[in-house]
Amino acid sequence: MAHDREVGGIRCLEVLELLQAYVDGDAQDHEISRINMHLVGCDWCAKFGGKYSALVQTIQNTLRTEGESPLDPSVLAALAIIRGG
Amino acid sequence: MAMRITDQKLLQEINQGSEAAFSALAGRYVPLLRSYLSRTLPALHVDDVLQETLVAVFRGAGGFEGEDSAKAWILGIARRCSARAMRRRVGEPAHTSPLPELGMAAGWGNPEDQASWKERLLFVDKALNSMSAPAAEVIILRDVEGLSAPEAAALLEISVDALKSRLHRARLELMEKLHKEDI
Repeated sequence: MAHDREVGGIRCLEVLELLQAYVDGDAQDHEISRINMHLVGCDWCAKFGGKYSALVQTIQNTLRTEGESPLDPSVLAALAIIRGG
Repeated sequence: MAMRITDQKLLQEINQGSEAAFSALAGRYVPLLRSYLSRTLPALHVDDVLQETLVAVFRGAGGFEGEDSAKAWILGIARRCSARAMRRRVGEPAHTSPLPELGMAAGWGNPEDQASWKERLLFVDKALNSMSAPAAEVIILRDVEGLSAPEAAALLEISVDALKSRLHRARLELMEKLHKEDI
């Protein structure tokens, strides 16, 4: 059974549902206030939310593709097809 | 200092048949395309689909709408080429497991598991590569490549709300893999 308690006027399950919007900055102001109050009083959700947020930041900071690759063989192969019509 | 030619300008020149512009644009996007395709296709298909995508970019350059994001447009072509190669439908259904179930599998409600999370995050690349293609794809488009929610939703041919729901579920699935060290 999922843990689900009401803290700060919002239940854990609702916080879980809103977590993506909260972390991505898509949540409404009233949702942010309620979630903030919940996180102050709910250790479980605070810790899980921290892990979720850390995961998103890690992906964004470490996996983004950078740089150019002018000599990739796929470009030459594609050009050969294009020239061949 | 030399001005960098915009993607839009390069696409215009490609539409006129410029191979130089094509090489320049391909050079910019091949690393991204290879990364995207490597995470969503079996390794066997990556080179072929990458090549097919580049050819389609050249031949379809005239169809690019200047106000759109070139990155999203090119990824959209890659996605369609990829779907054709795998004979899978574009816009696969989202997972339908209840959110609490996904959350619990990801460690929700388990306050004991904290100390090793930073160490587990070191394996995020490997965990992402072990995910199903539809789940990995939404994370790649939004979190790795930084497409906006509307751009990613348009590319996946789903609504923005569905995109956000799919992204949330995919992140929870990724957390589950890291949580269980199932990678």
